Order: sequence, then structure tokens, then C-alpha cells
Amino acid sequence: MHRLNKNKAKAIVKNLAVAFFFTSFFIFLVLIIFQKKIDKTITLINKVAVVSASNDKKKANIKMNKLEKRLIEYPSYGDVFGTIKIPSQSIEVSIYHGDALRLLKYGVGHHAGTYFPGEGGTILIAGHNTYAQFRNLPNIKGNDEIIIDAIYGTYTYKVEKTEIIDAKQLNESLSINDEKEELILYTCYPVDTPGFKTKRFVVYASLVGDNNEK
Amino acid sequence: MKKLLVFLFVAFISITSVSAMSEDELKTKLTDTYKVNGATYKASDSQKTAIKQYLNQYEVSSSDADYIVSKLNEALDILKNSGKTRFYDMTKSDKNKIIALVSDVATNTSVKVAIVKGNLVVYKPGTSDIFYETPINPVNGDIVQTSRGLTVAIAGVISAIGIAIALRKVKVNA
Repeated sequence: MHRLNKNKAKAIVKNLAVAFFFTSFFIFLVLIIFQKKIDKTITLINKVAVVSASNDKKKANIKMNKLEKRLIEYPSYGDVFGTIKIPSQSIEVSIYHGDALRLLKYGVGHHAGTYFPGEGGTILIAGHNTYAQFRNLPNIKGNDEIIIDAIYGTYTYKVEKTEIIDAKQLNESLSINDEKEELILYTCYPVDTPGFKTKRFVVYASLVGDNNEK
Repeated sequence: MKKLLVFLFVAFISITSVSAMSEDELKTKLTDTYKVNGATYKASDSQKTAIKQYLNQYEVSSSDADYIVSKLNEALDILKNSGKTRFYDMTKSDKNKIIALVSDVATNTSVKVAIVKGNLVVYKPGTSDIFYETPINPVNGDIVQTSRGLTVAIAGVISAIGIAIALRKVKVNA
């Protein structure tokens, strides 16, 4: 009787292990084959989220004080405050205030403690290297246009330079400039291999045009 | 812990300095460093900007500032007595004392600050909206991991192990 139970338990464990491996294999295949489609679906869902977020009453108070070059009220951490567009790379994704990993699931993240577009300082934005976000960022060229369509204004930047550096190096060299508006975008690098990444692809761009009339 | 202390420290300096000091003096104060148990604490540029942004938006009374200063001093004493430099290295009792100080600040002043799931969170006064959030113990400082290929990698490794076991069995049976 005891031996029978032991065999039964062994069979269950074996079946569970086989099921686990098959499920993992299935997930692996789905992620590899349909990655682009999954990312595009996420982008679509995000766009719907941005539309509903823009209707939020809270957003009405987020306006630029043109004289002091600062926002009258800052967006709350975790809220969408605009869209970033890079036409040359077909990138268009919503920007969340804050770059916690829970937010980067849905869009790119503006690092809290850096300036907002139009405030005249360093703006740091992180995005995943997925098709829905910054997968194409490493293809960007000098002078390419980056547009931030914020809920309080539209800001256009021109790519000045790009570089590939260690994540720790980026953190150490990151200084917040409060005298010149500079947009810094980064994503994990390389973009086409799975796993943990220690490098970052970084884009530096300068402000070339703004329109606070919204 | 480092971030928490730096944030409170910078908050304390900037808040107490607002009325009495010029902006230039305040900027100089913000770049100050201090040492506890051999470790040097200095606010990062983004922490200073966050403080500036907070003070641009919300007023902090001098009595609130005094209260925060007293709690900061208590926090520094706890840190000094623990002999540690990181929050996660402190004893549970000391950690709880620090968390209680943060709660005291939130309860008794207009600065609503809390520790939530390993993050230091500052709320917009009078709301549940978050003004600023930062991990207490970040891996890479301000820079986040922006690769979502980990799921693919994990699923791939598990699949490979499964296939290897299956092939081995086939070979044995053959």
C-alpha cells in the first residue's frame, strides 16, 4: 500500500515536471514568435490609458509658469503627463512621472528629481528595450527630432550625441543641469539579446523649440 | 537608509534655511557632506532638485521644520549608536525606531513622508497623491534596469533543461 502511494506520488511529480517544462517551452516560443505583436498590443492599451488620463481633472492644474520656467503644479508620481515621439524610429509612447519598474511596464518613465520639459534643466527618461518602447532607440542618428507632447505644452529636441556605457557609469556621471535644457533618454543595451543588462544606450538631445500654449 | 537620511537631511537644511538664507547660501548648504560611522552622506543632484521642486510648491512652517530637525537628530543618534551605515544592516529594533520617526514626521507636520515597500515616499500635502518616490536601497543608484528579456531568458533556460533531460532519456532508452 505504502509502495503504491510512493509510486503514485512519483508519477504526479514526474507529470508536473513535464507539464512545467512544456509550459516554459510554450511561453518561450510565444515570446520569441509574437514579441512584436505583444509589444504593439501593449502600446495600444497604453494609448487608451493616456486618453482617459488626459480627461482627469487633476491634469487641468498642470501648467507652465512661463516667467519662472517651472510648472505651477507637478504631476503626481505614477501619472502620465505626455507622449514622447521619435518619428525617425516610429517610436511613440506615453511618459509616466517616475521610473519605478511597476510604471515602466506601461510606458517610459521620467526620473523624479530631474526637470520637466520646458523647465530649462536636465530631463532623464528611461524606457524598456521592447518594441513598445525604446527597442529602436539605438538606430537613432544625430539631428533626429524628438518631440515631447506634454499635457501643458509641446517641446522639440534635436539629438546631439549617443553613447553606450555601463549602468553604474551613467549613474556616477549623471549631473542635473539647471541652466540648459537637455533631454537624456536611455535603455538597456544590447536590445536584441535576452537577460540582465549592464550596459545602457544613452541619447543626449537639446531643446530646439517649445510651445507652451495648451 | 542612506537615501532616507540624505532626504531628511537635505529637507532639514533647505526647510530651515528658506526664511533666513539667500538662495546662493542655500545652494551651498545643499552641497554639504556629513559623516556617520565612517560613511559619507551627500545628496545627489536629483535629490536636491526634488527638494527644490517640493519647496517651490508647498510651504513648510518653521515649527514643522524644527520638528523635522529634532527627528533627524534622533535618527542620526540611532544610526551612530547602531554602528552601521546601511538601513538593511541595522537590527530590527533600530529599523523600527527609524520607521517610527518617519511616521512621527508624517503625523505631526505638513510633510507627509512614509516608507512603503522599501521605498521612501513623499506625498502631496492633503492628498494621497505621491510627490516623490525613491527606493531606499537602489542597486544602480538612479539608473533602472530597462530590459524585459528576463522572462524570455528564464523560460528559455527551463525549456533547454527540459529538452536536455528528454533527449538524455531518449538516448538511454535507445
